[in-house]
Amino acid sequence: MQTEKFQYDNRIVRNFAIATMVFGIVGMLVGLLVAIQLYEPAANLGNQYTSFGRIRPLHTNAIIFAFVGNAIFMGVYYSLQRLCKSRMYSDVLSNIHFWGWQLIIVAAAITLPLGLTTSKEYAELEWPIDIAITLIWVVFGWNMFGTIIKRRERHMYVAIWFYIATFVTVAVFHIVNSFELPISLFKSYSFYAGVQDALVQWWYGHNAVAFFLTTPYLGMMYYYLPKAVDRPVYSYKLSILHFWTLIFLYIWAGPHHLLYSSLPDWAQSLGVAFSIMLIAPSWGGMINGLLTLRGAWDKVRDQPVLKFFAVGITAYGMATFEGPLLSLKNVNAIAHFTDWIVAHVHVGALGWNGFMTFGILYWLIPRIYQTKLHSNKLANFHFWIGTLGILFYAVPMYWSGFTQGLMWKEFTESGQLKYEFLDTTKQILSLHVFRSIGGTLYLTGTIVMVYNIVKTMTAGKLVANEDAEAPALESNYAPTGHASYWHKALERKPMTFMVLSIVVVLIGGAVEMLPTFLIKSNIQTITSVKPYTPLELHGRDLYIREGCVGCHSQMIRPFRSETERYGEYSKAGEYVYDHPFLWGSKRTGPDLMREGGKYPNSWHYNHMIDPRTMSPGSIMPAYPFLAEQSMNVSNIKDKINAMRTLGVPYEKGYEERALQDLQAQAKTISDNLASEKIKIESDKELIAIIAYLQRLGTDIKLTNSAAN
Amino acid sequence: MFRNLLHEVTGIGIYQMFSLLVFTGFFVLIALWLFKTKKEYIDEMSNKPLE
Repeated sequence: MQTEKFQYDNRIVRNFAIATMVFGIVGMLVGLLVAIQLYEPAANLGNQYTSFGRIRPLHTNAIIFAFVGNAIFMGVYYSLQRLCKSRMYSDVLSNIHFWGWQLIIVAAAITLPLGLTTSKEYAELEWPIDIAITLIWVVFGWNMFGTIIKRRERHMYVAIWFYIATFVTVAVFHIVNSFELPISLFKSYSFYAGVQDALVQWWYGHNAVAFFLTTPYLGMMYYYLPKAVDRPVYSYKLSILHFWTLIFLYIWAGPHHLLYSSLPDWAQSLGVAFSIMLIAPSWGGMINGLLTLRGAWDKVRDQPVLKFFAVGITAYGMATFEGPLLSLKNVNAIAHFTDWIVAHVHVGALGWNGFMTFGILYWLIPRIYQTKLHSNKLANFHFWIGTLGILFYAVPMYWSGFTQGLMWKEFTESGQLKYEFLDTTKQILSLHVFRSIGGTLYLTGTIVMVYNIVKTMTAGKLVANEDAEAPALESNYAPTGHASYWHKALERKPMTFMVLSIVVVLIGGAVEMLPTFLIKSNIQTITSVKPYTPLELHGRDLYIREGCVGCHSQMIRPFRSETERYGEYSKAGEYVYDHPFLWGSKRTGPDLMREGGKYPNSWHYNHMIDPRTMSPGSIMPAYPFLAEQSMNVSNIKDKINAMRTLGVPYEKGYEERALQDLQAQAKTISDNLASEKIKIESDKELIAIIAYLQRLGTDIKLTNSAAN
Repeated sequence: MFRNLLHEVTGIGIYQMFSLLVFTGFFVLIALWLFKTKKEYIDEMSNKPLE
C-alpha cells in the first residue's frame, strides 16, 4: 500500500492555546471582580459599565465561550488531525474560525458592559453576534467534517464521536434559543414568551453544559489521557455505551432548572427522571477515565499533567453526581436560587474544565515546541494552589448555599418568617470573602501556568508543520464478515453518523417542547393579565439592560415560606406577554414577582439612587445614573409593533398613541415624586424602571382585591 | 395547585411512557451491538490514540 506524506498544522493549535490562556486570565479576573462586588458594593466602581448586573454575564461568557471555547478548539484541532492521520481540511477555514471566534469574543466584551443583552443566561449576546456565532460554528464544522472525510483511518475513534455530537447539538440549540425579533441593531425580543421561553432557555442552558462543557471534554479525555499515561482507555466498550446514552439522556434534563416553577408538572417530572438516569452515563465516563490510570498511579505522582487529569475527572464525577441530586424536587426546594448552585457549577468549571485544560496545555505545548516543560516544580505548585483554590471556593459557597436555603424557609414558633431577606444576605458576607480568596488562589495558579508555558515556548521552537506519513485508504474497500456490522459501517460514514446523532438528540427536545407549544391548556390564560404599558415596557428593557435578572428572580414557588415572604405564587398565565421571560436563576436579592405596589415611588427612587439609605447593609449596586440619563423613546413604535407581531394584543394603531401614553404615565410618576419633594424630570430612565417595578405582579393582586 | 394542571392536560402520561420506551429500546440496541462486537476490533480501536 502506498504511503502518503503530509504535515500536521500545529500553528492553529498554538494560536488557540494562546487565546485560551489570555481569555482564561481575563475571564477569571472579571470573575474575581464580581465576587468582590458581592460583599463590597464600592467594587462596582461607581459607573454603569462595571456594575454587577452587566459584568456578571461578561464573566460567564468569557469563561464558557472564550476560555473553554478556545480550549476545545485547541484540543480538537490537535487530536482530530492525529486521529484522522490528516492535516486539517483547509488552513483558510482554520484561520477564519480562529479570528472569527476571537472577534465574537471582542464583540461580547464590548456589548455586554454597554448593557446590550438579551438577558437569557449564557445566550446574552444580541442577534448580530448570534448570527456571527452561527456562521463561525459552521466554518468549524465544515473544517472538521472535511478533515474526517479525507482521513487516512478507516474508523472514527470515540473522541471524534464526541466532537461530532458537540458540533451538531450546539448548532441546533444555539439556533433554536436565538429565535428573536430584532428591533434595532442591538435590541431584540425573544420569539418565545414566558413559560415557553423558560423551557427553551433551560433546554439550551442545560445543554450548553452538556455539549459545550462536557462532551468535547470527554472527547479530549479519551485522547489526551491515554496519550499522557501511555496506555489505552480502560474500556472502549464502556466509552461507546456511555457516549450514546449520554447524548440521548442529557437533552431531556433541562426542566430540572425549572422545578416548582410555573412549567407544567409533567415536563418537570420528565426532567427529574432523566436527570437521575444521567448519573449512569456520566459516571461511565468518569470511571473509564479514572480506571485508565489503574496500575499507573506512580506516573500520577511524577507527572503534573496526570495530576490535573485525575483531579479534573474526579471533579467531573462529583459534579455529575451532585447534578442529579440537585434535580430531586426536595433537594431543589432548598438549593435553587442559592449559592449552592454557584458552588456546583464551579466544581465543574474550575475542576473539570479548568484542570483538564491545564493538563492538556502542559502536555501539548512542549510537544509542538519540541522541548521540555520549563518547570515541573511550577506546574506542581500550580496544581496544589489550584486545588486549594477550588476548595476555598466551593466549601464557603456550599456553606453559604445551605445557610441561605435554610434561613429563607425558617419560621418562628408563632408561624412568622424568622428572617428578613436582608438578614440572610448579611449572614453570608464572610463566606463570600472566603470565596474570593479561593478565586484568587486559583487565578494565581493560572498566572503561574501562563508564565511556565511562555517560558517553555521561548525555550523551544514551534514546529508549525509537523511531518507525518500514513498509508492512504483503499478507495474500493468492501467490508466483509465482522467488519460489516452496522455500527462499524456507521463509523465509516461521518455524515450518516452526524444525522443519527441529531436524531437521537432531537427526540428529547421534541417530546418535551412540542406539547408545551401545541397544547393550549398547558398555559392557562388569566383574563386580568394585560400587556405592559409603553413606559413599563421601556422600564422592562432597562431592567434587562442593567442585568437585574442576575440577582432578582420573578418566580414565586408554591411554598409557604415563599408566599409569606413574596405573595401569591406565580402562575404560567401571568407571563404570556413576557418576551423574554425574566424568572431568573439566583436570589442574591429578593424575588420581585409581586414588587408592584409594595413600596411608594419615593422608596424606589431613593433605593435606586443609593440602596443602603433604604436597606442598610444591602449589597445592591447604586444606580444614580438612571436619574441622570434620559429615556431613548425613539423606537417605542417599533417595540409596540414587534410585540404585536409576537402575539401581544396591543390594539391596531396603538403604536401611534404609545409615546403620548408613555409621557403621560411618566408625568404621573414624576408628579407623585414631586409631591414627596423629589425633583426629577419625567423623561429620566429611573421613571421607567419605577413604572415597571410598580407593575410587577399587580394584575393578579388587582383581581384578588376586586374579588374581596 | 400545579397538580390540577396535570389533570387538565389529558393523556399527558403518554409522553413519559413514550420517553421511557424509546430510551429502553435505544439502550438495548446499543448493548446488543456491544455484546456482538469482537475483541480484536475493540483492541484495535482503543489503541488508536497511541499509534
